[in-house]
Amino acid sequence: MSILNSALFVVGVITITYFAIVNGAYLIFTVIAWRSLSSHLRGRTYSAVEEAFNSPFTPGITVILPAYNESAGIVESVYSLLALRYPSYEVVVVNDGSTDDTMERLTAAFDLVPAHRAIRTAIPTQTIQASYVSRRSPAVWVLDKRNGGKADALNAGVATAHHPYVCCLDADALIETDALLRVAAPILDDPENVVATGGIVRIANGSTIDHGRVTGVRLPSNPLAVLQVLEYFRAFLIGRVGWTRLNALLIISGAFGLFQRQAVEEVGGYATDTVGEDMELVVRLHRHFRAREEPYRIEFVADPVCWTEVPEDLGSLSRQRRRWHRGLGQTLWRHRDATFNPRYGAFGLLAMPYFVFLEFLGPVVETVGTALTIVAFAVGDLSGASFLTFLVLAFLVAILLSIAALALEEFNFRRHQRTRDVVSLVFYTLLENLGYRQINDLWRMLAFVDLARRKQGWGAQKRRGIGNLSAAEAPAHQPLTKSQ
Amino acid sequence: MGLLDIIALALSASSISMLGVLVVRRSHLARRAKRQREIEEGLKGIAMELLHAGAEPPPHLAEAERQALADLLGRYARAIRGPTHDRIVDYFEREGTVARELAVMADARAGWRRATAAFRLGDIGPVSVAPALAAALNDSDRDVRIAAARSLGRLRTPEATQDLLGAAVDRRVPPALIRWTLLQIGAPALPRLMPGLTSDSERLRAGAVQLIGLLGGPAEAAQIEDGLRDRSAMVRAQAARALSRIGGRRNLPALRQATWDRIPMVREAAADALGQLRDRESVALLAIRAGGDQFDVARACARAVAAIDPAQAAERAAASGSVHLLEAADLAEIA
Repeated sequence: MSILNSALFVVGVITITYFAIVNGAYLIFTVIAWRSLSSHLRGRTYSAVEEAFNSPFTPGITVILPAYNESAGIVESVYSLLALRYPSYEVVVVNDGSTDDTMERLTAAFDLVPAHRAIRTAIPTQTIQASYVSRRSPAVWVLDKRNGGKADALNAGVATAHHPYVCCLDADALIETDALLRVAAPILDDPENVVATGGIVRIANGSTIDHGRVTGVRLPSNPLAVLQVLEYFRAFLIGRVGWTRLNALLIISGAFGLFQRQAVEEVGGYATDTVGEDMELVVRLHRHFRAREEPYRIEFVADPVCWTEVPEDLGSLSRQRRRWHRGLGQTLWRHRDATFNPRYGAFGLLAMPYFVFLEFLGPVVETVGTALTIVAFAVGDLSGASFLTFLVLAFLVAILLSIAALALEEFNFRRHQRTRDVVSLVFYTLLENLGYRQINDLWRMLAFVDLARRKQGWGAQKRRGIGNLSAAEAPAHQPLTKSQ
Repeated sequence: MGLLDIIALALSASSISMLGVLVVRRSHLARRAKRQREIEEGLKGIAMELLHAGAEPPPHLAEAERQALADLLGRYARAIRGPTHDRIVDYFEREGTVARELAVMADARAGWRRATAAFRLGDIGPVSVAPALAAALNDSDRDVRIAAARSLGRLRTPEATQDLLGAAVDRRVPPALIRWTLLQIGAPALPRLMPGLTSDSERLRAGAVQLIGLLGGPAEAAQIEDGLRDRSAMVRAQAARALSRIGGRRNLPALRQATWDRIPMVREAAADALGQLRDRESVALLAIRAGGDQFDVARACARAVAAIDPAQAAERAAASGSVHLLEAADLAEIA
């Protein structure tokens, strides 16, 4: 057997093993998600959300909105936050050294006046140069600080929070009116143990937005955005539900997460030297509580919704995926000693290895495996029938998982009311495996280059801003059709 | 046919059948929703007649219509009280729905059916179903227990107070929901809460203090003040918070003393209470603490100073430079 033959054989075994494990894991998570979501949503009928809204015992929440050059949509975002149904909350916008007119727009829209605000020193941040409170809505505060990145801005918000829980958002995220109540539900149920919860992120491109609220859910017209709709279904409805059941959820989206403030302070706040600060914080929380053998829970909740815009061009999407993968790599490397560490239970023995071998190294295995399968076929090591069978199987499993995620969404949420949207999504479950997945793997592979070069920072981001007109300027219905 | 072919076939069949179910279910749900809307539209007049004039619905209603009428009236019942609500309850008792729901809550195998029945009984049931709902607080299904607690809150039956407190202490029902339920029951629950003040359970004592603080009045303040000397910090903090609502001048010395408690949470609650009770004698003490105590305590002290005397807060802020006082003074000025 030649060296090439041997290499092809080894890579073939690795690829098939990877293929079996990753798809097996996803199938198991799909089953868990079906059971878990059905029971959660049935229980929602009897859950006491309205009672929580009317209760004086519901704990207060500080909503933190980091903003760097978010002039396009910041006012609309804050307006949408002021419409939230929650008995006691404040909104803290952290202007992270914007170079555009974010600060001016906020000042004009909310009649900001300078006011002192005490800062905790447990988590160091870049200097907060000034703080302002709105005369129009005294629950709105703005911190004007030197640029230090998103994590630093969030830390500044945590350091000044008045309430025991902090809800960290993306500046361009739109939160549904009752999302804060729903994402806080596990905390109301078990305040002693639940330290963090996260809601679902849905894609707003194509939907109708009226005064900071998504009023009509539509599929985007851009094919790239539609493909991401399917990806988000899989990631949130299958992956996160499954990991929550094992209390080993490693990611609470930076777009919408609720944390016990004291827990965040105890672990030192968000890390400012990674682009995956949302995942890194959650991993640190797991380690903190597991190491101290204290009971805790970190939960994903499927019904509170945060709407966000996603990239619609290949350049922006590739940068986002490279950044996400780089953040994943940084976090996994930083906490490498937790992988396979029995001290950390399901988090160390299942979640960390899964993310290292299947999520982080997955693109390498998939790309190299696909390339060498083609080589093996070309040099005659693999018969045409075997080659075809492997491709067909991979294709069918991927379709099954996507359809299962779509069915989960349809059975439990039915957000897409138009039948043609659902038909389109079915069509895209076939299409996404013909190029999109492969190009995604290539982008994620490029993150390894970024990691080797120790690249830092988020890079340029293009944003139109969701609902980027102020309430006064906005037309009755503003379709979000973004073209960058 | 090889193994791989069989797997491929199975995968294809799974995807296609899932798609088939999806399509059928979607069209079924759409048809059902449309039919439900049409039935409810037709029944609105009958429901209104029943609510406003007590007119009996026609006896020849089909099962689907009876169910739709029950859902419709149940939703109305959630939003109303008094004689109109009583008419709805009477109707459901006479018509047999209450007995049926009680039977479902007791016997149904599926937890969601028992939970649905427990939930409905809170909207359409008479007070006499309270013992059955209290028993449902021990159901093995969490959803049933939650639905039962919520329904007991809607029925406002003080007899369920002890059962509710027990469910909160054992964590059978989220404590936040139990507290809401007891708030709905209101002052009639007070006599049954008082024994909780001397319970061995720290959680029960803290819960009782908290609720008495919300439901009680000055008559209960002396007993709550005893809570400031409890061995549990949770109870002491709740006692301070309760006194901020029902306390008076008599309780001020004990609250001032509590600002020296070794646990920050208690000091914070005591400072807030002194602010709420506008204790001018505490201003100097609170202003000093606003400059040097632990963050949250200092913030509470500053808030209290501003609540008692905003002008003094501004003066003391300027003199001391305490950032907490400066913040409180700024907020007082804006307010």
